[in-house]
Amino acid sequence: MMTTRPQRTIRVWDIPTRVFHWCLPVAVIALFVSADTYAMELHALAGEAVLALVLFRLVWGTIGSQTARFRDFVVGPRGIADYLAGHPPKSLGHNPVGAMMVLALLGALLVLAVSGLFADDGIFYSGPLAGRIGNALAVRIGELHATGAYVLAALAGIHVLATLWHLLLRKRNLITPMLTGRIRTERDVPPPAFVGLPLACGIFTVAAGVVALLVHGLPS
Amino acid sequence: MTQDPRAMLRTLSVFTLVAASSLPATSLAASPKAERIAGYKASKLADATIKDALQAGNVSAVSEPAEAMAAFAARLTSLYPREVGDAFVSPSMEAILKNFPDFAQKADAFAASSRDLADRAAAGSPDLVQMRAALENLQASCLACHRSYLGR
Ligand code: HEC
Ligand code: HEM
Repeated sequence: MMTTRPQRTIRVWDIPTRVFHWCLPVAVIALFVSADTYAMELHALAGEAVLALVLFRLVWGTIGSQTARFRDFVVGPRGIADYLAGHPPKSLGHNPVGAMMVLALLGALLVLAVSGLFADDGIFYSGPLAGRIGNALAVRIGELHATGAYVLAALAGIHVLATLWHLLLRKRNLITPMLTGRIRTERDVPPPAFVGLPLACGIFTVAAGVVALLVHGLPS
Repeated sequence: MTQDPRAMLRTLSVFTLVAASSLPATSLAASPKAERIAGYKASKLADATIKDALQAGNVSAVSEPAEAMAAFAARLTSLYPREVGDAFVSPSMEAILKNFPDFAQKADAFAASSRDLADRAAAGSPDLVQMRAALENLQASCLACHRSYLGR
């Protein structure tokens, strides 16, 4: 039985979440290219930017717009099972499986960005905080960092393939909404609540300040 | 398009497998290449361990990692068999084969400096200042070879 309800366009992603999202592929590609060509100054800068972005996202995930909040889209095993059984997700934003990927990607980025600060490649370059810990420990963290980078790459690959799968096999375009902020839906649900852009700018400024302090210390 | 949860899981697991198999194939086989990579990695850790020990003034902790590094350095050139052209495996291999005498000289410098450090560590009354200088020589030997053959 098919009931076709009229489709309407609603806004689901705010500007901060979209800008955050698209900064990541740019930064991560820059991180891999710079690591490969040993442009380590650029690598450190891009990695520190990622750290600030992730810190921002963690705060935005608790006090930001509705679809950006972890409580809105992280649903636990039951919710995932329900979704896989064909029930529509509660959130208009990330679906329950995508939510797991959001957490995995954020976690991997956080681990990489923090481990990078303490990493030492043993010969040429060390992160700005590597001098605070033992040399052998910093070298081991560098190895963890390098291995972790491939885990992130695998996660990002799965993430991209999943969106392509939605697009090509399920005829659901998740990519354009992450650019425009809008989806078309036949579901009769109230539109999500949004929090203002100035707050997001404030949070990011603080996050960037925290990272700068962490990396360079207090200006003397 | 109906959504079949099992098809969805199947597709996800295929994605995972594809992604996992695209991870860098850690050649576990005991090839010269695997052996020298393991040796370089161990040397990196040995170098850091020695640096820690010298910073802490703990001379007795230098001997073991220094000996291990010297043993690796002494057979480094033999781990670059010239008849097996594995140029496609390592981008720097072509340059190494073309300039093998120079490469061997840099490997010798590595062997000599790590031997020197190991000998000083084993001496009756090791001199901390001289050992620090020896470690710097050793690190300079890593750098010199990497600059020439890895571009970094
Ligand atoms: C004679 C030349 C030479 C010297 C000396 C040398 N290296 Fe290397 N190193 C190489 C080459 C060439 C590679 C690329 C891997 C290969 O051989 O295929 C490499 C790779 C490495 C790697 C990367 C291994 C991996 O994970 O793929 C590390 C780490 C390393 N060297 C550390 C060191 C340290 C530390 C020293 C000094 C204690 C050192 N190297 C001295 C030539 C040298
Ligand atoms: C999310 C952020 C980051 C990503 C995705 C990332 C990615 C990478 C990659 C792909 C490598 C090369 C690994 C290899 O040798 O194969 C690397 C190495 C390295 N990165 Fe990062 N990086 C990040 C953040 C940082 C930060 C913030 C710093 C420090 C300021 C840093 C410092 C280093 C160092 C010192 C190495 C050499 C480690 C080694 O080879 O042992 N990274 N990184």
